[in-house]
Amino acid sequence: MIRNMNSYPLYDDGEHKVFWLGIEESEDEKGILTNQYLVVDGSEAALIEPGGFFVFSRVLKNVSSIVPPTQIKYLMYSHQDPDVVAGLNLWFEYAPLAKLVISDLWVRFIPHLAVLSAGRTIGIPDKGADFKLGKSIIKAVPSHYLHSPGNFSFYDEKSGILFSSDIGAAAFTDGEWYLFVEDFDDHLRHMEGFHRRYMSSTKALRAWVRHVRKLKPKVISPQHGAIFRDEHVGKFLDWLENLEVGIDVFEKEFYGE
Amino acid sequence: MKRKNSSVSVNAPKEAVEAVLEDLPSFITNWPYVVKVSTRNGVSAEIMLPRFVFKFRDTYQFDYHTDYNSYIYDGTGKRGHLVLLVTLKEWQKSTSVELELSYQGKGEFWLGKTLQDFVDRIGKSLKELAENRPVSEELKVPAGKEHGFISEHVDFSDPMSVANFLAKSRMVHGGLHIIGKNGFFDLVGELRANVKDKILYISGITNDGTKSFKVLLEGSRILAIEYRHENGPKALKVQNEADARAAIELASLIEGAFMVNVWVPVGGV
Repeated sequence: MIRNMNSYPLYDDGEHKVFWLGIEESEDEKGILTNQYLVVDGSEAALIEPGGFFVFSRVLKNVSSIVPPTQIKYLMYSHQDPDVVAGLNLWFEYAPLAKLVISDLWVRFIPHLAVLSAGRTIGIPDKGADFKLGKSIIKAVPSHYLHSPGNFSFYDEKSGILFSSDIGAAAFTDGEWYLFVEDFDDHLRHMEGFHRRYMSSTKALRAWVRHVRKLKPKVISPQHGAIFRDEHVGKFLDWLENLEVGIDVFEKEFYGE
Repeated sequence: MKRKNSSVSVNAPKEAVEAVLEDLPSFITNWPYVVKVSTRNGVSAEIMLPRFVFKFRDTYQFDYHTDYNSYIYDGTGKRGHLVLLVTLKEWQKSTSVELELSYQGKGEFWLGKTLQDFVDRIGKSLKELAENRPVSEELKVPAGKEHGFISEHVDFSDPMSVANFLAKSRMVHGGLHIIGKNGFFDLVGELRANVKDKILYISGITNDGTKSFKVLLEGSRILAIEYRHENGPKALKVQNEADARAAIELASLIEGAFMVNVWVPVGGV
């Protein structure tokens, strides 16, 4: 099973830094390992997709080696899946000055994670919002129905890194893992099945691609799988634009009509 | 050939260090700057130092050899040859580890500082892996029928012991509280008026983050406490009468305006 306890720097201009925070696989994840990211600007930090209980120890260790958790200003959640939010009550305590950032749709679910979050939750409106971090901006980019109905990608303007939630997710085969996509055509075999089944609407996917092209991201970093950079960003967006997903593919299989 | 050495003291028995060293894929995956691992035909790993550091990138196919107290990882890449020799020496309850990293290949004359950083970080990873239980074991913290059994394990110097407690707890109160001089137990009394649970976990932080505390209570008895202020954090797990007195003294230092959260255990396995 893959377990990498180290962080890896994705961007560093001295003032603004972005880190990938390691990876580990549980027995039931079947190769769909989760990525967590930390964005630091000056003395403020944002933890993107903090993750569930069993990754908490590693993520806390790696975050603490970069910044004190009290400097975390935002805990940013793309959607409500357990592998994104299940450790929320732990981060609520360990990043005690942080605000929870999640789609407005899911704010009412937070008490079910045993947390009284009033005053510390920022519900993102459907159209998205900008979040100031130090001197930089992280944009919440609408990614609804991909796959969650209240879903956001997060775009760090300074580094040009788009944290794309489940869009771009890949499931690795046993004994194989890589951080960056190097052979896009080979990487497709890890992505295609996931996207067809988990993404709900071809129309939503194409709208997202159109919007993201305008942002001109340099890097796309999904919550699962490998990171796209350089020419692979364009290849990935081209591939998505021509992909049929969700109910458009499975209607007949599900309902037999 | 460029050689760099590092040494590290691991606070774990030799067997724990050996277990890490003998799991070749896992150990190499945890070397710094490893961005790709495959175990399909032996173990291969791509090591890529970030772009802003001196360019160093290659994929190595690893062979592994061992004798009674040393381990050799022999990596053959397209541009160079990397060899790590790890030697162990047991000393009472800890293990001293010597690491020697040799590199021959492209850019070797320019990589002295980089290789030193690399072997230092391998040593640090080895120490962390050997000293820390695997996550699967951390999840196996025994959970008794009584809440107290989980709370007995809470030690604020060990974040996972707190995480195990919080994972089985719910937050019952949050709000701003002013704690006056020697006023921590006044706060506890105030909270106890509304929260009847025997075990309480109370945490607080000032708005500017300069001061914070975490206290685990059973009735009025402090089980564990951490207080962080301008001079740094102090954590105490109460195990005897002297600890109990020290914990009360530490709690009496808590003073200021704190955002307070209160959690109680809810059981479960």
